[in-house]
Amino acid sequence: MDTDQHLAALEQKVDTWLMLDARLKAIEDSLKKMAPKSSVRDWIETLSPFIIAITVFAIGFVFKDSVVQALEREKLDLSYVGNVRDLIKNFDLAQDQSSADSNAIALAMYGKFSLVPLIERLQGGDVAQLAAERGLRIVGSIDPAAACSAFTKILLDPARQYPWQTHNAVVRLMGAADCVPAIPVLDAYLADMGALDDPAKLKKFAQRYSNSTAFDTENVDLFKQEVRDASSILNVSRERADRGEKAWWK
Amino acid sequence: MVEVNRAAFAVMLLFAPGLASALSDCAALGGASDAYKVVMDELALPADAGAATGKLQDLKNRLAFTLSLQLQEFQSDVVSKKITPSIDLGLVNCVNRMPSPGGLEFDAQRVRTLNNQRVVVELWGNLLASSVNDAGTPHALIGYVIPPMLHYLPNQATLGRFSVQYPKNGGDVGGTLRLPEATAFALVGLGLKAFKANKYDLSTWAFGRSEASIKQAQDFGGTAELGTLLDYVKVAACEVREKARGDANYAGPISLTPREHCGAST
Repeated sequence: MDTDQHLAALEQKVDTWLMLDARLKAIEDSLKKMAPKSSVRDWIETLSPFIIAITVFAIGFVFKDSVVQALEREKLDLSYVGNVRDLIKNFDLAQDQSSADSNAIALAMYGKFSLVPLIERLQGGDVAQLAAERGLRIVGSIDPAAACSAFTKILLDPARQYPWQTHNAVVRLMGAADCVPAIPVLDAYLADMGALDDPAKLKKFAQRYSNSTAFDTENVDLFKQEVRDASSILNVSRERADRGEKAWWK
Repeated sequence: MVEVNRAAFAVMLLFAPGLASALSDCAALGGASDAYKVVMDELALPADAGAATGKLQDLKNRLAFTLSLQLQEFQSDVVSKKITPSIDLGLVNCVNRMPSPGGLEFDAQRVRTLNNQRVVVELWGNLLASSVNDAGTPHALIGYVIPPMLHYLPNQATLGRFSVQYPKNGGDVGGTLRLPEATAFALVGLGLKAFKANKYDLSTWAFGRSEASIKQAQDFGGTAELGTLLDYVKVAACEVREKARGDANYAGPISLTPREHCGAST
């Protein structure tokens, strides 16, 4: 091999190395470009285990607190039930009006918890009925929202569980308990009582009571007057509230 | 004196020791019954009857028997007349219910409640071993309340409350006991409730029968109040007939009778 040929071969090799070096540099540059950088995502990825742990802890803390509160409330409710049960027993065993009244008033202090037992006793004899009505009047003052809701349900009861005397007492109580949201219910009730001179209409109207045959013409006028009285009281209350007086239902 | 006037009654109560009084509840008054009710409470013995206990117990038994019998007769009469619409008249025994002798517990609210519970009359008794008149003779003070009268005629309360002493024949314990007032007052209460319910036939019958019973009570020794009650009943019966004639929904026998002038309004 002559010198020129040898030189040419060397040059070719050098060119190849240079090309390889250039390619290597290009690859290194590409790799440098592809190298990881510090971003928000990186931060999130880094911190996510801690964030999850803290969140779980916070949720657990809040959840535990609400569960404890609910359990405490349940305990309180159960103790109320025990006390209410004793008072109901005393109420039923009362030997005169004053002791029945005392037990009804003590029951009423338990607010919404006393609503069902007192409403049931509106169907008792005269002593029980008068005492229950006194108790319910107090519940209406303490917790008008719960009382009015219960009273309204009775007037609209589709199951016809209550005698007309209970409806009658409830209407009186609604007036006393400031049941302003129930004004439309009372107005509708009064409208239904509008044409009860006709015996057929009276019979149909009375079907809303558990003792429909005990509701006759004798009761209509007096009951109508009770509904009008209650509605009138509530309208006065509504007007006062419209003038800016404080009202529980606003 | 066979019937106690109010002043003497008040004095007697002041000096009557050991009279029991407890208005316990009578659950049978509530519920869904549509029957008109005659309520018979306890006939209470005095706490300190002593040696008179036997005689008082005997009087109590006879009174209870007579009252039950009269009220059963009354019920049978109502059923046998087949009055339209038919009615149910129940005798409700309220054991241990003892209103005070003057019936002070029967205020407006209780009267309204009893009237709504379809009570036509409530009666109760206090037995006394008398130290005021006939020595040692037991007697009973029977109290009557007519809830419909007190409810619809609050200004004539004397026509809705009565206290009558038995036995009426001067204290003969062994004599025949009659309590015509019990039937009379029940009929008046029933007549008034039926009137308000536009049950004209029933009301006319009840007021008519009550006239006879009131007269019978007067014959056995009555008070001025019975006379006033009789006047009221006559006017009320006339008003029932007048109202029946003017009621387009009524087509019973009263509509065939001539018009009347009833006088004072009820």
